[in-house]
Amino acid sequence: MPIMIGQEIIQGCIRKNSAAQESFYKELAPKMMAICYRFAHHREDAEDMLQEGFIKVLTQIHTFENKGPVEAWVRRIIVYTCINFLKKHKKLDDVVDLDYANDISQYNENTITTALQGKQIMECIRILPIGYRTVFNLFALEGYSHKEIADMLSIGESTSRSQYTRAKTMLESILIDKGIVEPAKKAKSA
Amino acid sequence: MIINNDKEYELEDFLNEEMEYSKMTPSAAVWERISREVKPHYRWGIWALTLLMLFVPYSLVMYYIPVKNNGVASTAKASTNTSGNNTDKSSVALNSAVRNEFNNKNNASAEPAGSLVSDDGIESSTGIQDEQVISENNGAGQTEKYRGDLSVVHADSTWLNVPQNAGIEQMKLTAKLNKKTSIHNSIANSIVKNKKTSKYTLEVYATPSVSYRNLSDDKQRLQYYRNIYRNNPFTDNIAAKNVNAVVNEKAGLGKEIGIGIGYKLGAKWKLKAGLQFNERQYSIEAYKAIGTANYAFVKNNMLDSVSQSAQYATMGTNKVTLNNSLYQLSMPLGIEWYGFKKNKFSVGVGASVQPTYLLQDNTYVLSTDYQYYSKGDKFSRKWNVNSAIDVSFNYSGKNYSWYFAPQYRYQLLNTYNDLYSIKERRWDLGLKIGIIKTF
Repeated sequence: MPIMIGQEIIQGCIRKNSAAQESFYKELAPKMMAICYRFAHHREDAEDMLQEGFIKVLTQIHTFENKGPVEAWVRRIIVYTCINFLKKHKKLDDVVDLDYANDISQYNENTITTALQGKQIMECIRILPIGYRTVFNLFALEGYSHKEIADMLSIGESTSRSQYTRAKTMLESILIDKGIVEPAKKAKSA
Repeated sequence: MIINNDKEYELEDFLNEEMEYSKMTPSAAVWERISREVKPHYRWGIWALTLLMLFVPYSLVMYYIPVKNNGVASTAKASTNTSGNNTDKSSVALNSAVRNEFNNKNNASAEPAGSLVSDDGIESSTGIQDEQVISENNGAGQTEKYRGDLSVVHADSTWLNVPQNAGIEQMKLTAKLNKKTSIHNSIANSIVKNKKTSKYTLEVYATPSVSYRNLSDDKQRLQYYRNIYRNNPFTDNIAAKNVNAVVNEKAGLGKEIGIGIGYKLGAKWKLKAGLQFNERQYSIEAYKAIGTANYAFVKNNMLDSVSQSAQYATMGTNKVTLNNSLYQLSMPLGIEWYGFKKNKFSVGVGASVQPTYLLQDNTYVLSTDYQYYSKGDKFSRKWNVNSAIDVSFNYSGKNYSWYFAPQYRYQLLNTYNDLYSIKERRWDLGLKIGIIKTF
């Protein structure tokens, strides 16, 4: 269920009213921070992405045309900001070590310490190599097509598909290994 | 497929359901940094407004408060009351130079030279001591005593006020008696010179003007186009074009209306400050067409864009004229130099800096792919700075001066903010016509 922001808050943000901007930020920041954290290497990067994204949102709020929930509009800007951040800091240039990617025992048991399932799942996603993780986040969780992902990341469409397949397989293994999910008896291949 | 809590899911559906409610609280410092960035930068504008609001009442107050000029009250008036027991203090006061000269040079039956008036030039309310007067035989058997302020003291100590004219006559008489005509001349001239002249002026003016502009596209964005859309003839076409050639524009007639206060620094220089309302107009030839206007820009070394719906295009069949207008409030702060003066005519050169605030923007901007026009108010900077120079031809009347002044005004900063990567600089040519009142 998307977060609903009142029109008066949006209008206040357009008028650059500080109180309205702060309310707007407080409503959406926790969810957007979780999105940024899924893309980022660490929490500091996630906060930088969130900061850049919200600056863009609040300075461009007057271009929001009210054709859908404002959360979806904000989310799109935040995701683009995350991708641009990774590109700018050359974090997407990490070479995917296939041996690393195939060997799920490489990850440290202590990296996932949170009790809550949602946070555990997030940490499992963050174990993936950055390239796989980015493609997986964009396709599976943000709903972008492989064509759009290819344009955003300046890669080929087939590269996007293959990276997603490998990411999905790897993530499934991690989740099963941690006991968060169980394999289906008759699982369909991706 | 995977199983969680005995339910089967596709992995993506399971993750979407879990992540939908996933939240994390960022640190408080994040919002502090964001709010600093998005806060409107109006502080220097408020300081300028505050300074002007202080300067205007200060100058008005200074006009009305009597200011001592060389120890003489400048609002002092000559009394015309010549009779009665009158201790009215209003009388022509002499400046210290005149007083001293009068004292020093007057040697006819004078008391030992001393101050004829109190040091501050204002008659003491307790009266003047005997030693502060000179006595003179008035030829009618009376000994008249004269104070430096021209009151006449009779032998019976009745004080009378002497009209200014009568005072001059008295001084002439005294000087004549002393056979020192030079004293009378210098004293009389000093009194004339002591007439109050204010340094402040009030001005009202209007400037019909024609507004022009020059556009320049962002080379960095064009280079990104080339890199991303390689071998795209359309993109290459944009890069090869001059954006000014794409926009078919006609200058319009605008105006400035203002009010200002001047402060004279000597005979040739004047400082000025004021408030001014500006109107700029121009028209653009376009064609009716529905589409999406894209505005690309480079930020943090990445190509980004915003878009909005458009109803006009640069090409088509149904031609229309888009009227553009914008309204501003500005605060000219300037200086003027009067280089040539003859009789009532003078020629001056003025320059000013004008912090400007955009009140309303009804303009259209070209999309960065040069295809559409859409509303430009979202891209315009609220604050800007203009500079102006003019050559004024002045005629000074008794209480008022009139002038006309050809003026060139140039906008120093880009019209648009960072979201719009095509830069615009404006300038105006106008004829300023005004009237000045000197207090």
